[in-house]
Amino acid sequence: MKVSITKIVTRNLRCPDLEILFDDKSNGSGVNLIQMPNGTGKTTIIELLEGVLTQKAEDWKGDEVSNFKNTTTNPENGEFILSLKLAYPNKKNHELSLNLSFDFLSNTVQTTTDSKEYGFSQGWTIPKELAPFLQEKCVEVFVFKGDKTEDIVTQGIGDAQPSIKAFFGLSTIAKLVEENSLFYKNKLRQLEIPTNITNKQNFENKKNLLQAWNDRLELITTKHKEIKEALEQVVAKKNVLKNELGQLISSSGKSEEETKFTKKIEELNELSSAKMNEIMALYRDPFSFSSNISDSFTNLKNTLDDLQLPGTSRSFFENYLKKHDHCLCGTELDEEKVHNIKTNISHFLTDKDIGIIESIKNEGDSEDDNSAEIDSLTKELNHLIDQLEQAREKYKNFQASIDMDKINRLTELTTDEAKYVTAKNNIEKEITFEDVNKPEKCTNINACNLAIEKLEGDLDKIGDIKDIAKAHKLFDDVVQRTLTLAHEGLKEQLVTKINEKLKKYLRPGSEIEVLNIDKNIQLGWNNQTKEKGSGAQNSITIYSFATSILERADIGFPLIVDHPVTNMDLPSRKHVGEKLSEISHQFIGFIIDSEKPSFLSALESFDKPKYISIFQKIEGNQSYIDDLNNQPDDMKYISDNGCICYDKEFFHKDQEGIQ
Amino acid sequence: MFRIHQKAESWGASLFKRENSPFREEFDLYYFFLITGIGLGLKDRQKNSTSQMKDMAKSYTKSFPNSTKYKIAGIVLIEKLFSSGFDLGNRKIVKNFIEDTLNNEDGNTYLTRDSIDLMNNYAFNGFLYLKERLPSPPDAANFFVWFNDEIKPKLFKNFGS
Repeated sequence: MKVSITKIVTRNLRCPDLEILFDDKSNGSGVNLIQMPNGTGKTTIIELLEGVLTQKAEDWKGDEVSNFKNTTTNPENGEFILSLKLAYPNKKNHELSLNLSFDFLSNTVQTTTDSKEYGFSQGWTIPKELAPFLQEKCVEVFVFKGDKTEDIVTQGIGDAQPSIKAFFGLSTIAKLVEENSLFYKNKLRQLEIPTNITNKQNFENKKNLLQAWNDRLELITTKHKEIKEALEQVVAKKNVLKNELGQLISSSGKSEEETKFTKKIEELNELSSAKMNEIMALYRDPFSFSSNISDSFTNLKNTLDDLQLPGTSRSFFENYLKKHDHCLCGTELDEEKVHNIKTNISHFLTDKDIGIIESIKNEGDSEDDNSAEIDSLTKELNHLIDQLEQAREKYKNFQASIDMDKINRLTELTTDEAKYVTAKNNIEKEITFEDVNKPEKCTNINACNLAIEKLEGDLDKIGDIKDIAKAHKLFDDVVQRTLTLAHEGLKEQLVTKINEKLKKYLRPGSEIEVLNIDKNIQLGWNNQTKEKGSGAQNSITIYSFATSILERADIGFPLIVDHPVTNMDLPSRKHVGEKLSEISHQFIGFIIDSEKPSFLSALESFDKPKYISIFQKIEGNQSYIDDLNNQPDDMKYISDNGCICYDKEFFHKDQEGIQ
Repeated sequence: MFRIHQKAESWGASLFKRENSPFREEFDLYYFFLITGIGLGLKDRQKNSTSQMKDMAKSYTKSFPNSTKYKIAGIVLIEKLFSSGFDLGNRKIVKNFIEDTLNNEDGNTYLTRDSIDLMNNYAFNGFLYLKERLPSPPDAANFFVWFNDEIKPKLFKNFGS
């Protein structure tokens, strides 16, 4: 596909209102030379061309838009139309106009597209095969401004690579990497995984942390096992000791053997108590202390009996005197006798004393001799005491026979058991471990497992996206590698292509070629680098570079060059002039008077370029306007403020003084 | 009023120690002191003895049956009667002794206050005797054995003669 500019229309802009028609090889030589006096808006036209072709015009800001306004007429609106022809090898040409409508009241610009095939539409409606090339880095290849020709061959200033990448879609492919990265991040977001989780360091940190936790778990598990084993051993040892220490310790805390001893002692105590009570009961009878007491009572009784004591009581006589008037002997009881009786009545005991004496005498009749029985019981008691002492001695010996070392050991084992049980419980208890980053502080199996579970979960998530990450990286690698290879391959092909063109376009014996395209185009000869070539060599090199790229991309664009031969000597201008029509299907060059010598003559000797003279329709240019009036209509264009003349002779005229 | 040595209780504490000890009350101690004193004829009244005694009981406790009370009264009567040196063939003298010794006023001891005072003195001396020989009494069982072996054989040797 070859793209040609067929027409440019300007209205109410900083350049005159124009309608410039261009040729390409389909209707002429394809070389269009424009001469415009300084200040007539050449730069404006080139900027507008760039703005449209790169589609940047849509993004212009208010001040950028207002810069294009015709400050003399101060219009409310303006217009720039770029008409293009798209020539396809095997199908009908496509014509379209890219229009910029300026609104200087709001300082905005509206873009529209007008084409025979698709009609009028808002924005850019560009055929898909053209769209990839309408970007800044591509347009830079065929629109040359200022010192670009010099820059691209001067080390450290220009940059050829972005243009190559843009032209061959490498930039688009590179964008795939960005798109892929965006897709990957979105995927992580969908999985609710922090984007840094797949960070290699993060991944490694988590893996290391998991390892640390697994090590910790192993340590705690080992410790747990050791404690359990130690506990089992302690319990076993305790049981052995308990058995050795007199059967099993009963619930009362005494051994059976010990119980036997205490029971025996208790029994003997009970027996001795019973015996003592028997003895005491006997002792409560005073006769038990000595048989002499009983004998003394007998003696007392006999004595009293001899004395007729207690004898008749006092009350007997008192009652007798009350009831009888005769004595027991039968004599009458006269007053004297009664007096005598009453006087002697005190020789007799009272009833109460008699009662006591009688009781004492009766007790003396008792034949019980408890003394011997007490002796006997005391002997038995003494025997019980001996038995009790023996039993106590045995018990003492039994207690003494208990191995105190074993008792102490049992106590130690009991303490150890409690210690191990506590340690075991601490390791086993259900807790939530709070700090997953500090495995070294964990002492609990459950907490350890929780931490491991969490980390494994994290790593599983990472694992889930690991494939995606791999694919992501693989894609990146493939694309980058592809880009590198494609870039390198393209550069190599371009170097070959450019050198072919240089051989063709440069004067014989020029001894210049492109050695390499890196950041800049490296010129040299026989593998010896040259800092830069002559003006003609540089220009032809950069035209060759541009056309080589275009050819390689299978697209043709007009070469638009400001001052195409300004830095060249006359022979070089002549040579460029002779070759210019071969370089591109459309060449649009903005030239000035000083470039004309040698260049125009050489150009005309091989071709018929289209001459375009543009100037302002102002009073100072009246003589030129008069000339223009003499031209046929198809050779001129006159607006309110600008004129165009397509006449060769007019073009050749000295333009000094034209405005 | 039966009176006992003030230190008798603390001296005989070990005799009361066991739960089933036959010594259950202070009167039990008094009884053994009395038997010892009177059995050994320890009638001498110690200087300041009264001040070293404390009131213990007005009458016998329930542990002592009437027969014991009569026998003790008889022992006291015999001790007074036969150690008095009087002519025991004189009815009047004997009758007076009986009246001086015995009394049924309280219906419990069958003894006069003087007789009880006499008993208190015997018990006081009996305590001192036992304490001298047994400064720290063992438990009741061993006391019985010791008493049976060491004291009982000496008691009432010339009693009533």
